[in-house]
Amino acid sequence: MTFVLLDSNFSNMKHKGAFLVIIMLFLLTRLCLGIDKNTEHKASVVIPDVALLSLQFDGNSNIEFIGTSSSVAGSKIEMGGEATADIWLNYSSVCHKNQKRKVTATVVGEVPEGVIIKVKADNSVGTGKGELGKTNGTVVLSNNPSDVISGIGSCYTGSGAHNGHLLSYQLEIDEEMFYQASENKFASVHVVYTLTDDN
Amino acid sequence: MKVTSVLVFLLLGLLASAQQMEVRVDGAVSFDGATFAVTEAGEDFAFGVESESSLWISIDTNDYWDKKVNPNRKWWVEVVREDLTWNDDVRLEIVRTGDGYGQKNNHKVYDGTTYQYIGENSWYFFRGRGIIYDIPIQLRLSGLSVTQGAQDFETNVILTIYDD
Repeated sequence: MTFVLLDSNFSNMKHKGAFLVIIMLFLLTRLCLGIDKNTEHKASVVIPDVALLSLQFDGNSNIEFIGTSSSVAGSKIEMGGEATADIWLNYSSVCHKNQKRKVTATVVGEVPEGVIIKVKADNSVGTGKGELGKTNGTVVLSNNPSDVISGIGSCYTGSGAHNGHLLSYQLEIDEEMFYQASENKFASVHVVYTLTDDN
Repeated sequence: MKVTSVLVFLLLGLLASAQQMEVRVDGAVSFDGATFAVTEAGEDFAFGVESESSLWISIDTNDYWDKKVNPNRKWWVEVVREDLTWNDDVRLEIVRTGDGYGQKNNHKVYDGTTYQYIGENSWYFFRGRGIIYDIPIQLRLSGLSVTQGAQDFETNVILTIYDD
């Protein structure tokens, strides 16, 4: 009988001890154990295609070619020459790898018969960076687009005058055509530049 | 034997339930064409681009005992970047722009109020105590240039909370 009582006390003590251990561990885990839960957030960046083009100039962008009448009978009419109006072509281009762009020029309006308008874009200067376009030299302008600059990748020329490609114009006369069809009249044309994919 | 089994079971339960505090991020951040546009032909992207304040961090616990017994629990948060596809020229930075709110007045947040670089190694971000909800954070991108070309890239920003 006594033995049983002792056993019961021993068992109770054992359970009390276990209880104490549980409570201590409980507090320990609450107060001391590390937490290192984490969470993640996805940040995505999408750099889109960009194709921006502008003409920059000091003053105005008009160019005039005026023919000079001959003072000596029988000599030819002087009409032509070269004009640089300090017009700068600026662009920003973002395209995909291996994709290229170009700048085309198109004449809008009627060019007098026998008159040839040419344009030349110099290579880019200034603060630009990246895969800037290369000049195609002097090209003849018409009502169809002519490639003025090609090989443009992802780049920017810098903005404002004295950044980008300087444009210069030339006027030439096809004498045969000119004397056959020309009239004494004022002709005004626009030259439109387009930054487009080079397919 | 029985008692030992029960003890082991309880211990495991306690260990598991000790890992209750958690950090949670709500909101979304995406930097796209609307965020960084070229304003004028010939120009590059703006130097740095900030995200809208649409990310919030909450420090929480779903453990009843944690809330009752240990409401002033101190913690700190670290941040690291895990790239999926990334451009190394681009810097991603993070800042805490507010304190959030807690259910009791004993919550506090410290540090993290200036932009810091998120690198590929885990780095201390901010610390505090108690349960706090909706701590606003912002991300900033810099080093972007049009010369990098059109591309998409993404990274996981991982925030880890540690017991102080």
